[in-house]
Amino acid sequence: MPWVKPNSPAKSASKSATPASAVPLTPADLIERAEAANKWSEAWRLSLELCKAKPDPSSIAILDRVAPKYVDFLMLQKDRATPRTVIEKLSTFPASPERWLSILRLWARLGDSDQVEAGLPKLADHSAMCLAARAHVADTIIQQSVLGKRQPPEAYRVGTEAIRAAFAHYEVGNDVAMNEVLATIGMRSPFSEWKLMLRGLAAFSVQDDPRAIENWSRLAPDRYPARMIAPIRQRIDPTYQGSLDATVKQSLARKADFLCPSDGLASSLRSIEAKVKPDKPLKSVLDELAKLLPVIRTRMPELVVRLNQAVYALLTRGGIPEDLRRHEKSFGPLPIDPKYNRLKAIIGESIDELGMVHGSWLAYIDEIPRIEVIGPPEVRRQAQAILLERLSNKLIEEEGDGPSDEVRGMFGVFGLDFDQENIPPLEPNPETMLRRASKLTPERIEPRFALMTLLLSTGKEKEAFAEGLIISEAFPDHLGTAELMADLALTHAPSKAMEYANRAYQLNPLDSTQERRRIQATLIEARNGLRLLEYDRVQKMLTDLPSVTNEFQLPLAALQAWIEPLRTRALKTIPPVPVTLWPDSEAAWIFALATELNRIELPKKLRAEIDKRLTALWKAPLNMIQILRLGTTIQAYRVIDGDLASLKTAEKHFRAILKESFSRSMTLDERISMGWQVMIFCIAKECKDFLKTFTGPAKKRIEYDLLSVLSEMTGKFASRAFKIGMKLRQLKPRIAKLTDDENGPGLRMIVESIEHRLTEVAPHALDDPFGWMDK
Amino acid sequence: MMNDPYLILGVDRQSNDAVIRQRYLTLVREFPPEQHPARFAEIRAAFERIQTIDARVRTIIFEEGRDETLGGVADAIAEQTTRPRIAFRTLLEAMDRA
Repeated sequence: MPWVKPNSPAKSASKSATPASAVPLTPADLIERAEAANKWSEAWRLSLELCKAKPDPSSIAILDRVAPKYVDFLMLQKDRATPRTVIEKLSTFPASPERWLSILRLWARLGDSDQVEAGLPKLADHSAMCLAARAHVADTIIQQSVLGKRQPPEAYRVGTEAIRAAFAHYEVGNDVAMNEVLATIGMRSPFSEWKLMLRGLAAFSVQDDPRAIENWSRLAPDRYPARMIAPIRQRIDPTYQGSLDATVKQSLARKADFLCPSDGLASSLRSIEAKVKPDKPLKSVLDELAKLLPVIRTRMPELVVRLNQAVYALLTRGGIPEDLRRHEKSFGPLPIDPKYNRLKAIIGESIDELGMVHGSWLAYIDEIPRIEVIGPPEVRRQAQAILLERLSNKLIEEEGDGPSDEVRGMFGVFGLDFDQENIPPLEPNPETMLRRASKLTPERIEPRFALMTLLLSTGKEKEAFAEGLIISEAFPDHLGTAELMADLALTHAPSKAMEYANRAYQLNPLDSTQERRRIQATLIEARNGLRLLEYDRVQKMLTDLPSVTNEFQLPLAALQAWIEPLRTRALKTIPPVPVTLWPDSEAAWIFALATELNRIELPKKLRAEIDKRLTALWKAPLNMIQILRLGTTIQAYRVIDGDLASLKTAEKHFRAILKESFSRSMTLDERISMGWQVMIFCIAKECKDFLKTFTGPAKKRIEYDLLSVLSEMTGKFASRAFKIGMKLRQLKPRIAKLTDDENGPGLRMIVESIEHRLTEVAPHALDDPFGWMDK
Repeated sequence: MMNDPYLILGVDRQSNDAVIRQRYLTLVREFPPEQHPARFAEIRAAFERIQTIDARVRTIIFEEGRDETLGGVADAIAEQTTRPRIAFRTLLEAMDRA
């Protein structure tokens, strides 16, 4: 019966599964298992059997992998005979020059120079490999010779004796004699690496570290000299040290302490360091360090400060508040943190104690003006400001993690006081801290811009605009401020919107949103100009605009069309639809004309004619294209003017048109186009009906269309996205039912995509509003 | 302290932007990335930590005293002790130690 893998289905085959489910282990599996269990004799036997049965390259590779480990194992057992048999058997299989070199290296490991020399003719065409093979023999011979185990063979005698003599000179400090001896060893000698090692050792002992590193960095890492010198090299060569992993580094450091003893002080410190483990209290480590401190203070007082810093750093990585007292008692505070407020704050951050972080950083901020080590006064002021910014960011993030105002409001609905069981808000609040930071470093934009965005995010647009005015004056080239100001100015200072939009455009002309922002600001400014009867200026402003093909095209055209009638007060004649517009744009054109006159605040009696036409428009029968053009124009005005009352009235009328037209019979394409409008204008029943239209091969298109609509309409109006999300949520049971039928996969995909998009812009619309409580 | 940016660049703690930049350029010319990639990376990282007043303030407030290790102090202690001439046998013995 073949072997089977443990825990494989075959193990329980007799009970339940069929015997056919057993997976027999391959010879390679068995060898691997023997290797993993350190059963080298078995691994060797199996790999040899495998090679005899199937002497292909993969089997030989396994044999070559096992053999050196088996040889090492045997040598550790002081077995000198079996390794020879192993290597002889290895040699019976076909060998490339590389494989042959590996075999010779094994002979070299046994110190059998005769076998190596006998095998060299096979590498006659590969001089580098010959040299490498001899060098490995040299490594073994030198060791054995020093340990008195054997005399060097004739071919290696001169080189071995030269190295031993050089070592003897080095050990007694006679570097001149050492160099004279080493000069006899050429760079193509198998002993050349020993020469480099010795030169480096001599340099190290006279503190000439660059020369030591230079010699040792030329050593081949797999050769004995490199391995012998590694502990000392890691102590002085930062590049080499950086290439080692932590465990190797620690082991080498211990060996270095053995090679270069320093009254046990260094090794004591290293053994204490080894006891530091993540999540383990530092108490005993601190106690041990405190005992070591008097010794260091007496013998190497100049290192006391460094030791103090090292312990402080230890606490920043894993300390607890109680450790601070221990540190203060034994070591005393560092100049940068005289009252431990900084360390408390850092520890607080690591254990996520916001109250501790807040209080400690604030105390530290107040201390900073007296901590001269931080730097000159301007640096200290900046340090205070940066900490205030950091602290305000932490509070803002923390608030962001909590419930929204809406959810807090809901607690009120249920008669609950949300804050009753919660910690009161930390003071000072982020706004106060950012204002203080701005005052401390008026030359820096960071706290000011952070304040502006904070004010905006908390709905304080007027204050944000005022802050933006200060920033714009001090930092006219700051793009973020110019963009925010251009947007804010549309509401708070329309006459300035264009200036800011132009500035943002000049700062980043490759960004297409800057172009849109500029056009929108131009439109607002043009309306302003018409209010002031500056017809020529407005005409020039609009003529100077590059050709516009986006959603602003129709509003701009409508405004331009009114210039002459306004100048001559001939407002009874309605300007005709420009030829540049799409066909079937009449309804949209009337709406745009009426909206523009409304926006420039023309007295009602002067716009009576266009208002009459608009009233008629809401009742007129419109074809599908006209409805779509009208819908698109209303959307454009949403972008331009936000939620103005007159726009809401227009939307109400338009929803009625949509409802009526949605009941008409129409093609699938028309239904998709109308469906966009339905989704945009949030008509619940029609939304449901529209969702029912997901049929047949058009479903992918519908998904694409809906996504583009959602991305446009939710980009600027999160509140609308919220409403759509809420509607979608209401529809969910119905949608869930629909996804069970034959249109399921397509519809599910669409709904998931919509939800994904809405999650970005209006997460509360889709999430469980109480979900944050589970976090 | 291996990671002290002031030590790596060899500038005073009171140095301003211009002095630090000048020193950085000198070192980059001395250790170009093509020939000394590791040293260059070390110099570049140090420069980034102190190149502006803002960076310097952040470094001193958030990083000062956090680079030092007990191992670093142990190295310094070993460094200050007179270096011995190490016998061949001692080197061999060290290799066998855990």
